[in-house]
Amino acid sequence: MNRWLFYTAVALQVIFLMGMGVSYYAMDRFGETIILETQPLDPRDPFYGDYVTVRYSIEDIPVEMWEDKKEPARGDTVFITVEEQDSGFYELVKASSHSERAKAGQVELKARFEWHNEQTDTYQVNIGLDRYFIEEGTGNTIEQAGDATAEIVVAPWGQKKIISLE
Amino acid sequence: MKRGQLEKESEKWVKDGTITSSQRDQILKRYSHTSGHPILLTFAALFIGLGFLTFIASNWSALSDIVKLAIIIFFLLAFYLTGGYLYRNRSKPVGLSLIIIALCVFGAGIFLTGQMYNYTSFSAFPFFIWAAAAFVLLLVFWESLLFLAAIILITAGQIYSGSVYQDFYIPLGILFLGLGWVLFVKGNRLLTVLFAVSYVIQSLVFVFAYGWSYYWLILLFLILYIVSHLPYGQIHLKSFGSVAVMSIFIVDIFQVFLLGHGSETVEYSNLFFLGWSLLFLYAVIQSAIESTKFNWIDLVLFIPVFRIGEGDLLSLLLLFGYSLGWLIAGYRKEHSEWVAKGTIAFLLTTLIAYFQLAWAFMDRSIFFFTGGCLLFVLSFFLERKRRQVRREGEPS
Repeated sequence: MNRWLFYTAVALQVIFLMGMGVSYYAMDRFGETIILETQPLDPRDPFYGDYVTVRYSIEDIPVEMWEDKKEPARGDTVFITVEEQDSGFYELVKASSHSERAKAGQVELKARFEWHNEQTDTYQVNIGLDRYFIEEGTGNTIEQAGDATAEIVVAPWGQKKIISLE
Repeated sequence: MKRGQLEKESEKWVKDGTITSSQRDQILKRYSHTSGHPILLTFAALFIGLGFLTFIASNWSALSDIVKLAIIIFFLLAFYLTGGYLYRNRSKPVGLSLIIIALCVFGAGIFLTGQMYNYTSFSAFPFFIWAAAAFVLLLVFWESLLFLAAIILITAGQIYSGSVYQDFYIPLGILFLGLGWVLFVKGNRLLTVLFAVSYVIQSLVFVFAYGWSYYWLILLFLILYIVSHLPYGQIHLKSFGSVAVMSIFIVDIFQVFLLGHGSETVEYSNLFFLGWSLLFLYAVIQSAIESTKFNWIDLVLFIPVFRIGEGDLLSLLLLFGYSLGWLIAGYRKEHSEWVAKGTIAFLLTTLIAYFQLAWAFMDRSIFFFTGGCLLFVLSFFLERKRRQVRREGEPS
């Protein structure tokens, strides 16, 4: 047995777990806070425990806002840019398959393309914040609240998290 | 030998003059008194550990996230370091089992931390990290149990990726190739079979995640078959062949039921035909230069029949060809294993043919009754023939 390889392997695992924690707390310091409109849906996932499923208004992209000619395929990474409005909410300004430097007042979010909704002619994407974990047994109260506002922080390294859901 | 036993025995040896009493002391010194009561100590440690665990479990939701993370990391380190120490100095099995527990703690840690901090993944990345940890540990210890852990994690991760993200996760595939290297260097039959089964499962995920037609499986299984018969391969890799043949046999059975009128409409890629021709040609040449001249019979199953029409009947022919091939080869060479293989395949094929041809127009009870009789008669003749071969094979 190679002792140094063993200790390195153990150390890397510890660093990985710590890194998950550290980058989460670092987001508060370095990230930018944005507010999005949501429509909470159904709770509960067997793999994780209790949470509410959240869908954001910016996840429905009208096709005319799509900047590339080619339609993305399921599972493709897409970049959506949001901008703060007078109401305080951040709303969609454009979406494309490549990343661009965001202008002042704008924030770029990474998302995954899901499907093309022909009826409303929108692209459905997922920004990866569709699960908000909550204390056991409180799922119903949040769901019943209907439309909600999500406060989200976006880190410069692309990571994002929900701070609150009201 | 226990010390008490040795003390008694060695007294006699001194009396007999086999050893001197100073030599006896020296020998006894090597067998020093074992410390205390190992069983009691183990239970003590186990109880304290369990008490600690249940305490944490019942207060888990009340703890703050940082404390939770600290607890996970503490357990991770405790299990790894104790395991490593015991593995080196005391008992390999105990040390190894602690290390496996630590690996489980790491996996649980990834998902628990992910949940605490609202992480959402876009792929099977967490499984990849977990499997990679198992792989590195395998490189440290070279233990079968860790190989098993790595292969389970890779397969589970790939199934997860396929079912949740409709995607074949390539990093896991690369890790799988790494495992293949470990298997090549130092493997055994059991691990080889598990590896091959994992390969088959991942082939399914691969083909269906990318929306490819099922017939690509023929190509993937043919590759597995060829690898098992490579001239300079390790002997334990031979088990690949059995898994490949079994898998393609099942594919052919599916063809019998699913092909048919739709055969001609199966979309068809020239690339598939090109790849298949090359591989098949190579496989034929390979089987021709092998010392066993009958392995080409396996290759019958890998012939694609979905394009020509009447795919169901042709698939049946392949299955019959394979079964009869081994039966005849077995009788001619008086090789009872081959006869057994051919018999089982032949009975299965007959059953399938019977289902396929007679199910639609026969009364159900007559259908099962006749089928049962048919199989009974068939197995009677085959078994008699097999015993005959066995008897002739034995030296009289």
